[in-house]
Amino acid sequence: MDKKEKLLKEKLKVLEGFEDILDLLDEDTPLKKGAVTNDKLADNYQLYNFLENEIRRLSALVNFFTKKTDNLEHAQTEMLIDNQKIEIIQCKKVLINHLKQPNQPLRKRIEFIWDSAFSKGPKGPRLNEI
Amino acid sequence: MKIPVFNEIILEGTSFDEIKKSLRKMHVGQGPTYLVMDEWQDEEFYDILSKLAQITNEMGYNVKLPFPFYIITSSIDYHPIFPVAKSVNDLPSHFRKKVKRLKSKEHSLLAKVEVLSEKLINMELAEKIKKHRDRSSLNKELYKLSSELNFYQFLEDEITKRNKDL
Repeated sequence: MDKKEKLLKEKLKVLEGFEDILDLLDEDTPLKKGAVTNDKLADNYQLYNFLENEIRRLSALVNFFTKKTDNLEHAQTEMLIDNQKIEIIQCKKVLINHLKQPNQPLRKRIEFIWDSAFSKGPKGPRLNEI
Repeated sequence: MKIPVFNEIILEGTSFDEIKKSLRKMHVGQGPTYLVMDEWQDEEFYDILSKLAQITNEMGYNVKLPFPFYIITSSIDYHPIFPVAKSVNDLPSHFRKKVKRLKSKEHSLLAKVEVLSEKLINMELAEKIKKHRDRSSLNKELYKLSSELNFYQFLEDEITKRNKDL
């Protein structure tokens, strides 16, 4: 009786994933010869790839509807909106104060338009006087 | 579970019950499906669409997730509930695959697909989507306000910079 040879652990690691093929070789069964066409290989690969993509798509959806939706419960958008509104009002006030200064170009422009439109005569009202 | 590729729904009739029966038979919601509606026009077309919407709502199917239920028609470009395509060729190619006998590895992948899709089907998706929509409109408002504030701050900075230069 033949003595069974045992493979070293390193060797086994190298052969990992090829167990099915090695079993076939052991059985002494004649393997079917003939080239596998490229189309067949591509078809198999396509289906495998499709299922993998599908898992990725569904996992992303599950993740989105579980983890991300849970975070929405603690969203602070309303509070941030209120803060922004207050800041806008404050910023507008500061801006208007700046623009009201007599040396500001905007003020000068408005003055020019006003004066040229309403105070044609020497007695006409000037913007500075209003 | 079958491989999630497109299956055509063939209606047994246009009455409420017949449509319901056909949808049940084709397992709508458990795989991508489509219904060719070119043979119906005008009133009948809209009548069937409203019946479909009512049935899917009643049965708790989400017509977009996890798998889409497409309406194939050239009468309309958009429907608020159903995704619409002009022809079968316009359907997303992701779900148009040749079905073959699965190997063991593919079987295990399919089992994973089944678990994930079941998980999605069992969630209250309609409610969650509504929450997201509400939240997105608030986010849009926040974006609008932030841009406005940003513009005012930019003006203020420019004015103070010029005043300093003067």
